[in-house]
Amino acid sequence: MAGKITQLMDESAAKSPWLYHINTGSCNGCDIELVACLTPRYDAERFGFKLAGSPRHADIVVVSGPVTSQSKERLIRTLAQVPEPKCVVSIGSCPRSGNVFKGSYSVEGPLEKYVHVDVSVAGCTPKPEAIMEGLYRAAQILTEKRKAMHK
Amino acid sequence: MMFPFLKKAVLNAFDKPSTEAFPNPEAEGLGKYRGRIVFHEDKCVDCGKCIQVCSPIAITRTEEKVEGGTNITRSFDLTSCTFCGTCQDFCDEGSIELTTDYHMVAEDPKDLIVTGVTFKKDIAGHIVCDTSACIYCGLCMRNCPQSTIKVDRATKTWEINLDNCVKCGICIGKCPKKVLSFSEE
Repeated sequence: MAGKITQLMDESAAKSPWLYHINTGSCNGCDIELVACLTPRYDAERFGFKLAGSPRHADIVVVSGPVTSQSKERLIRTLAQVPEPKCVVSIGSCPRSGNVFKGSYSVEGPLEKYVHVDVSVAGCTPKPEAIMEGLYRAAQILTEKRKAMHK
Repeated sequence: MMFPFLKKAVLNAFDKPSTEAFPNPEAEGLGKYRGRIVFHEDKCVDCGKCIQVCSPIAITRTEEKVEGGTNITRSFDLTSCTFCGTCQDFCDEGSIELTTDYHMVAEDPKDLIVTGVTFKKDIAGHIVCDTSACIYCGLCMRNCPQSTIKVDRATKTWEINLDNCVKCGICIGKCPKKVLSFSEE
């Protein structure tokens, strides 16, 4: 009986992966494209993606920006609050490598140092279509993770 | 009129939806988006200009000695690229191309590295100028990727710093009088 309920919960949760967006010193380009994703034109909400207000409600964490010294502490603290299973998506070149900011005294990236990045979307900035593709893949990974967790 | 928008609401039911399909085949190859880099390795002459102009240091070059020449591996890290297109603009041979392909999503960042191997023949000689026919126009100086050539029109001198020369041969192609060549030895 308990197994059945868990299965039902997993199946429902797969259709509503909530996002939490962290900007770690991004130029705002990627943030705008992520917001564009949620507009009626691209409509990521038809797959159940919804921007959550708190990291405690999130399944997928979307990170943009090269991880600056000021945001590093906040990033680590926020990521620690996201419940497992979680999926981290990096948007743009910055979280992966630092892009043009690499080597700066105030950049403490890449993001991979602090958390495992499940899906990376490249582009500077990526098109909303590409972000949608990344989020869609993240949702699939999340389903697999949840399945492995409840085995 | 009780329902002023009734007509519009009914008509909208038969309209094309404003939401784009996913995946959207109509968005392919549209606009001037600079996306995935395609490296035409057969055209590259290894002049090194792309590495010099790349601001996020996304292009790396490694070389491996083989018989009769060198295998040069050039890799473009798309997770580090700004997609500014400067490397494409500076490449004289047109070996770097930024396509409109925006599908750059990967779980493994290694999938986002574009590499190409160029074979560069060993050339024993170096660039020489036949100064009797040279008009000192300075095109070789301006197009040299490593700034090895110095041309002075006033004093009619042509000099090359062989330490920096990468033997790409761009100057030979640019010379309007065809006075530049590789020396025999």
